[in-house]
Parts: sequence; structure tokens; C-alpha cells
Amino acid sequence: MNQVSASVIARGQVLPARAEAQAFPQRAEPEHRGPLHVVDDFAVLDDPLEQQAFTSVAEYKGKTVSESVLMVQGMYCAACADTVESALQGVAGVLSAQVHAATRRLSLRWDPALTRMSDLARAVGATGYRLLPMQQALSLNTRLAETRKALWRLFVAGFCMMQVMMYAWPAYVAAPGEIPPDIEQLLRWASWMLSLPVVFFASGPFFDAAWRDLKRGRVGMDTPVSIGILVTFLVSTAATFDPAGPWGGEVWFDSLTMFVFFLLGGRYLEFKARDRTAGALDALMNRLPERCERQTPQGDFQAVSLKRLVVGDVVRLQAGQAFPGDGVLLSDSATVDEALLTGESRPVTHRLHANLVAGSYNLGGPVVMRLEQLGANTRFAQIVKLMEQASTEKPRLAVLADRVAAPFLVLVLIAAALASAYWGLQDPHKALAVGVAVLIVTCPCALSLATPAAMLSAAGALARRGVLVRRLQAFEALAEVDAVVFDKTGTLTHDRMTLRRSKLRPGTDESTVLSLAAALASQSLHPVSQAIARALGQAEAGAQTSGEVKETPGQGLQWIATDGGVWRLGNAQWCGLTPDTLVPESLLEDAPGAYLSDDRGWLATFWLDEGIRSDAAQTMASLKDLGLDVRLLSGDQRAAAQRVAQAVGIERIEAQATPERKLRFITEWQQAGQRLAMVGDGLNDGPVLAKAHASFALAHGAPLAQAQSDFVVQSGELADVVFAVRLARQTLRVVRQNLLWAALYNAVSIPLALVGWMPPWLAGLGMACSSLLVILNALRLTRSSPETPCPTHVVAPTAT
Amino acid sequence: LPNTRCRPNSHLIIAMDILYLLIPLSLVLVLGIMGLFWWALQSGQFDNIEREGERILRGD
Repeated sequence: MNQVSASVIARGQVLPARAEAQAFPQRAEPEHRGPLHVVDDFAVLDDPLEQQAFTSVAEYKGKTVSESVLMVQGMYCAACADTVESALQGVAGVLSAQVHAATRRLSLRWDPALTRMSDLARAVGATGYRLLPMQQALSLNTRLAETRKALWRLFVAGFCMMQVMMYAWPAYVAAPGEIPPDIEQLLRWASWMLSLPVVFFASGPFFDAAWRDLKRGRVGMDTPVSIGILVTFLVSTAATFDPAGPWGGEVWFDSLTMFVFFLLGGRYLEFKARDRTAGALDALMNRLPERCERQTPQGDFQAVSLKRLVVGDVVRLQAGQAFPGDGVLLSDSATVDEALLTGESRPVTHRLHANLVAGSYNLGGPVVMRLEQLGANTRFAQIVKLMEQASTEKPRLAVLADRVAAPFLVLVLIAAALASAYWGLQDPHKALAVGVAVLIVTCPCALSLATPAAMLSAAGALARRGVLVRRLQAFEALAEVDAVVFDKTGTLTHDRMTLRRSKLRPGTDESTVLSLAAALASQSLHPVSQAIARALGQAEAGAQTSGEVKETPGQGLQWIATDGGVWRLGNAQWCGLTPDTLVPESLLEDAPGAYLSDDRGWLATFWLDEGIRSDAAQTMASLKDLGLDVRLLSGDQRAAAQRVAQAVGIERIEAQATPERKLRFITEWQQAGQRLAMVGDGLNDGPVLAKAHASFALAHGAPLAQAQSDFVVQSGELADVVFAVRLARQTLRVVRQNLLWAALYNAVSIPLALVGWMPPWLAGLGMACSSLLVILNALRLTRSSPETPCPTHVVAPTAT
Repeated sequence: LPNTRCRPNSHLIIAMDILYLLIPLSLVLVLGIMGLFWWALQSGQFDNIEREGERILRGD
């Protein structure tokens, strides 16, 4: 994850809302952000500076070729992959093209001497898909190498285990003395040979983790695992080469290899689950490199890649474009959407020489600005940094299994010591053998599978509902939270406004006035205008505004019709209205909205609402039923926050919070001993999402915020949060059951080993059965999930 | 076969000699199979195991 943000910062420019719009082609670009600039912007792909992020040079059949990793946008099935591949294979210079349907990734090998990247992008564009450079091309390669290595370890352990089992089989079924000693010795040597790669190669991850824990002075689950592996191997080796020695004559190679194979199998599945989540997040982070119009010394404007901008450049931005850096406004005024940074849904008007922040959007006409901060120095990058810092300060609740590990290890060591001491008095020759037998049979196979098995199947159940789990351990934290904190804009509300009601001057023809308002409003990108146009537009389609329409940023619109009539849509001052010229019923007061006026004065008033999500109130009720406290933490004005909170049923509100202040609130609550889950979507929630014990990001939000949260709700439905909380509690219950079972198994096997009644075959059988039971118990989480009623349809929590 | 179980006779022990060949051979075989899988893994056959299943959805 840090890699992702680091690469984003290194790229200098991040314009997440834009990236979001491109990552979700099925969702139209938010309307107030203007049309997508799809005028041929592929040329930017030919810029060598941009290309080095996703292309590497390689040798192929004696030629120097380029290898690129790109993202195919607009692809939803395997058949689409075929279309893209054949479109590319038709282009001269393409040596190979392979599309991975599940991850929408294209691996391309092409000859830069014969074709250009922009031509390839155009060829794919002609088939209706869009090629985006893959920013994570490098991290992708390391991830692929890691996956291969994990699978290889699993293979090694698996094949060796199978063969060692075959060598062990005669010893299990034969009566004592039936196998000639020389053959038995041969079988042991063969088993020993095959155990070598299992211990020295395949078990590497366990030893690494145990060593890390040891250096930090902690005991984790990998410590008893490593001790188990090492002791079992050493004792069995001693028994192989010196059967009459003090270590006893039993070999445990079969249990050893099986143990390692089971644990690696669990690890591999965990790895795959994490890989899939990371892949899904990668998809969000991709976008076309942005271009921007820079003023040349001659005074005209020339389009350049954002990477080529330097501090002091003067750039021009069209309506709907994002500001590439922090800077100063050189135009008279600008209407700016800063929702990404402040969470404030209403646009802000800036005057000449005002400061503009990177990542916010220009909503009005073209504006000119001078860049003063770029890349890592921008306000945007500072929030990202705050976010990363917060994630390192995230309070980590000790994982249940790790909490169990230390007492478990102590108990086992004491039991082994007592056994040795007891037999030392009775029969000194057997003392050591019994001691190590205790250590071996208590090998914590089921114990260390207990947690990952449950969490993996819970993650699987969530994935089917479209919730990605980025951090498996978050289930434990989520099961124990006291309060759920919500962001307002975009989380409890939709990110655009809706028309609540309108009031017209008595005696006017309603349809004429409304169609006029809609036609006028549709001329502007301002969110209020957009909301009015959307609400009235469908019904009043076909209205024309012949004549001149002019927009004054921050004020409103004016239409001078061809017949000389003047209509104005905007705030009270713009329409020439004062509270005393208006009847109280048509006053907007502090609600968002607009007035319409004509030559005779007031004509209409439009009241707007932030659209509250339909499932918000239901979700709050369900969460309260689960015994959780719900809170609102908003960057918006107090009145707006209050209105939303009242509508959905939240009592505790903190408003007007900057990202820093939000973080302070969370820290204070955490210091007071509360465990918090945070639900948010914007970049301004990023630091808080990173800091909370468990966090949810809604999928329409800023990709960086998603990359910092534990759960990503792809459906964007708040009901999924309730489902996740329930599932987390259920998961914790299963983990506890599993740990209890593992403890019971050990409680039975230790006495047996103490009296010397634990032959290797019984130890192996016990280990296999207890591990299987733990996994089957965990699988109940997957199976039971569809029966759990969907939280949107139930009020009372279902007891399980 | 209670007889052979308690006292393995010389005839059976001679038959067991083949194990001196077969067991080392099985070791070599396992290593050979592992080598085969190493090659399959490194040539990318396990990178995208859904691909072949998806082929039925493809045009040609």
C-alpha cells in the first residue's frame, strides 16, 4: 500500500476524483464536473517521461522491444479480452498481446521502431475500450514473483509430504519386527532426504516471522510453530542416524511434512485473497496521464504532460479540469469544487490572487493560475502524508491467536520439562525421548490454522457481497468496536444535491417558468444549477434559450432573450432581491437553493437538499440495535451536518472538521479507550480511515482513501457495513471455538505423550483430524452467510 | 500369513532386496516431478489458471 501512495506522490500529481471517474466507466462523470475531455489525449502516452512508469525495455528474439503493462477499461467479460487482443494483433509492430480477463490487465510486447503507444491505444479505442497505463507495473512484477514463490513452497511441501507418507505407511501397518531393520533404516533415510527441502526451504516464512518476533521480544504464533518444526526435525534426524541414542527411536517425518504443508496451504490462500484485493485496488489507481495547457514565453498556450510542469508556470484550465498544483488565481474569479479536500459539497468562489489547491476542480469558465507548489509540497500531498503517518499510528489490537501463543508455549515447555524430570527419576534412558514427544505432539497446527481459516472464509463471504477485505486482521477489531463514525458528504448523502421543492409567483404558467429555469440552469456546471436542471430537465425537455446567456461565478446566470427580456438565476443579491421584497414563504434562509427573477422581480424559488441515502436511517437503526454508538464527523457546516444527522438518527455530531481536526477527534476518542470503526469516502477522510481500528471506504470515493481502509464496500450500500459487523462478530466466535478445540486436542494429547502412549502414527492422525475440524468449522462462515438475512430487510438483529 | 509375520524367512528377505533399488528410484522420481512443476510454474502456467476455463467464452 505504501508503495502505491509513494508512487503516486513520486508521480507528482494525483487527481483522484478524475481517476475515480475513469475507473468506473459505467458511472457517468459527476455532472457538475463537466464533460470528460476525450479529445484525443492518447498522444501523452508517447511522452518518454510518462512511458517509463509502465514500460520496460527487454530483449526478444534478438531485438530490443518494449514491454508494457496496461489496464483495459470498459472490459467486463472474458470475451472482451479476445476483442482487445485481436485488435492489437492486427497492428504492425505488436509482437504479443495478452489480456488477463479477471484483472483487466494487458501485457504487451511491441516494437517501438514500428509503432507508437498512442497508435496502439487508438486501435483499442476503436473497438470501444480504453487503454490506461498501469502505474503499478513494477509492484505487479514483484507481486507475481512472490505469488510464484509461495506456490513453489507449497508444491515442495506437498510433493515431499506425499512421498514421506508412503515411506511411513509400512511402519504404520506392519506388526513390530515385521519390517527387516535394514529396510526400515532405508525408509528413514529416504524420509529424511525429503524432509530436508521442507525444513530448509518451504518452512522459511515461519522461521523468518519467528525470528522477527524474537528480535522484537515478542512471542507470536510462528514461535511455537518454528520450535515445533525444528525440534521434530532434529529428534527425527537423531533417531534416523542413531536409533539407540538418548533421543528415542521414533521418527516423525510424516507429521512434520504434513504440518508444514497444512500451514503453507493456509498461508497461500491468505496470500491469494490479499493479492485479489490489491489487484482490485490497483484498478482504481489508473488513469490517463493528465495534460495541462501551459503558457509559453510567447504568451500562447501549449498542452504538456503534468510531469513537465515546474513551479512558476502559468497554466490555463478549462471547466471541469482539476488544478494540477497549489497556486494563485490570475483570473478575476473562479468557481471551485473543493469537495475532495474539505468534504464541503457546495462550490466556493475565489477572487483574483486567491489560493487554489491541487485536486480541486474548476467549475466555471477557463481560468489562468500560476503554480506555486507541485508534487509532494501540495496540500493534497500533505493530506496523503498525514494519512500514511496515521496508518503507522493505527492502534493494533493484539491478534487473539498471538495472545494465545505465549501462554501456550510456556505451558508446553513446562509440560515437556516436567515429563523429562519425571521420567528422569523412573527411567533416565527415556527421559529425553518423552520430553521431545510432548513437544512434538503439541505442535500447534490446529492452533495456528484457527484464525486464518475463519478469516479467509469470512472474507470470501464478504467478497460475494462485493466487499473487499484489505486486512484480514480487521475482522477482530471490527467485532469489538464500540462506535461507528460516519462521514457526511458522499457517505450518508449522495455527492450531489436534489431539488426538494419549488415555489412560483402566483399567476404564472408553471410549465413555461420551469422549462425556462431548466434551460437556464443547464448552461452552468454549478452544482445548484445542475441539480435544478436535472430535476426539471426531463419533464421540460426541448426548451430553448435563444439569446445570450452569461455566467458570473459565485453569483448566478443571466439570460438576455432576443426580445429584450432579462432573466436571472442565482442568489438573492444577483436577482436583485432583498428579504423585504420577498414574502417569507419564498425565502431560502440558510438552505441551499436559488432564485429566479425576471423584469418584474421575483419569479420562483428553488430549495435544494443534499440527497440522503435511502438506506442511511435503516443502517443507523441496525447499528444501534447491535449495541453500537453512531457518530457523524463532517467537514461541512454545522447546520448542514445537523440536518442530515437528524434525518438519519445520529445524536452525536462534530462539524466543520478539517482532515487534521478529524484525526484529532479520532485520536482523542481512542485515547479515551474507545474502539472505533470509520465509514468514509473522500480523501479528507483518508487520515481518519487509516487511524481508526477498523475502516470502511465506499467504492465511489477517492482511490487513496480506499487503499488505506480495511474494507472497501464496492456496492456503496451502507447496509453492507451492518452485514460486515455481524459477520465479524460471528467470525470472532468461530475463532474462539477453533482455539478452544485446539486447546482441547492438546489437553488430551499431552497426558498420552507423558505416559509414552503417543506413537508417531497417532500423533499424525490427531494433527490431521484436528486441523480438518478447525477448517470445517471455519467454512460454516461461508455457508451460513446467504441465510443471514440482508440487513436492509430486518430491523431486529438476528441472533446466531 | 502368521508364519512370515513372526519369522521372516530367507525367501522373503531376498524379495525385499528390490526395495534397495525402488526406494532410491522413488526419491529420484519425486525430484523429477518437482522439477517438472518448477518448470511449469516458472513458465507462467499457474499465473492465470482461469484463462483456459474462460476460453469457451471466446470468439474462436
